[in-house]
Amino acid sequence: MSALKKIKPVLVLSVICTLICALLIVTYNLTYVDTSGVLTDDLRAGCVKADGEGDYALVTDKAAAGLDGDEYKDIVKIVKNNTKNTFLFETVVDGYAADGIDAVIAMSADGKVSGISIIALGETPGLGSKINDDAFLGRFVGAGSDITIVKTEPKNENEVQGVTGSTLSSKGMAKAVNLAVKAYSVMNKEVQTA
Amino acid sequence: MSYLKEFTKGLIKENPNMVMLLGMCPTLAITTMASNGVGMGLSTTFVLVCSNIVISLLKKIIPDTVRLPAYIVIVAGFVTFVSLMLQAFLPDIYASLGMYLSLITVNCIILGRAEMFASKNKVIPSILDGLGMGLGFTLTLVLVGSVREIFGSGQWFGITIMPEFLEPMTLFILPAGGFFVLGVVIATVNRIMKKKPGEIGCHNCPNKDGCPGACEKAENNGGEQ
Repeated sequence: MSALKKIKPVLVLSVICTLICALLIVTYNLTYVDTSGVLTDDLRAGCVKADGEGDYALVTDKAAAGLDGDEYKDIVKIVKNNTKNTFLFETVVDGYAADGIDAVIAMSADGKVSGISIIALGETPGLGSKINDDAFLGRFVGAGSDITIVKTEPKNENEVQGVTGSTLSSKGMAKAVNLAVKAYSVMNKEVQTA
Repeated sequence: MSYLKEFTKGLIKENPNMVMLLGMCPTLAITTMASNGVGMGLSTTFVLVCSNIVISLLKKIIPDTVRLPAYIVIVAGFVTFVSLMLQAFLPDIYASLGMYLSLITVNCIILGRAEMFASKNKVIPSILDGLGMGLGFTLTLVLVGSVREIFGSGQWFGITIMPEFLEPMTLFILPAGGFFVLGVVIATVNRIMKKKPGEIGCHNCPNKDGCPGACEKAENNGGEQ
């Protein structure tokens, strides 16, 4: 009798856990949508904002573009604008928050940034969120390699003035831009040698 | 009649936020927009009603020694269910609530109602209790969220309502503003309800149902609490 009393709590808890797990497995399988390798609506809207209307298609093979290294892990997806024959990179980088900036960076054919749009921003409202202003994003247009963020008026070509109160978010954006520029040059070489 | 009372008590009289001061974390964290408040409040209401039903049905089966782990597993199950559903069908709300959605599991309102009410009452009163408490929670979130969104972003439910020349006060959507607004909302509601702060002690504790017997014991020992 006392043995049953000891076992009963364990048994009841196990049964409850099993039933809940079963319910969740069913729900998960019913609702799961695989978005890897798919050009989602959010991404397409971001591409249109960065590079204008066009015929966008996902470049699925990162390895063939020479971008399978660890340093390119922040590049999530590569999109090709078939209308203009240009490439766009979706990057997810750390700003103030880990993985706080999810941005699309459009590259022109000469390897310069032609437009940026932010798909999702996890930065602090009122501070880091200011990097989503078109005025700030516009400062990157035409930028080449090795952009650094400065606090005063930019003196050199590779300097971009950051947003007051959001230094880390500004630096995150610069990191995303530099990554896209570098990735584009690597990808171009790969295409030319192939 | 008494059923109606079970439902309405959660709205204002025993409002989980404004009177019992439970569930403060989501109340402060996600109320930067009124629409977040609606999403969070309704998700919590759903979880609250479902877990109250299940716990009330299982109250004789669950042994006393494992009741808390059992409640938490049931609550966590429903929370995961809700977040999977939101992710699939309302991705915008899912993105704006973020991790606070999974934190509904440890929202003390839900465990509090399971422990204080559902584990001692029949199914129908438990449903009404959960519904009332959940809607009361939603009401607070929308109130706090509206004030913060109107002053902090100049919008309400995403529609710009403040004139352009008034710069929104960012403070309101920062954490500090959350504390201010919540404090003022609680004070205002208690003023309207003409509720006087009671003497501090066990008998005036809104959560005293949660610790049965402990109250009398403390009083008998001559202590205040």
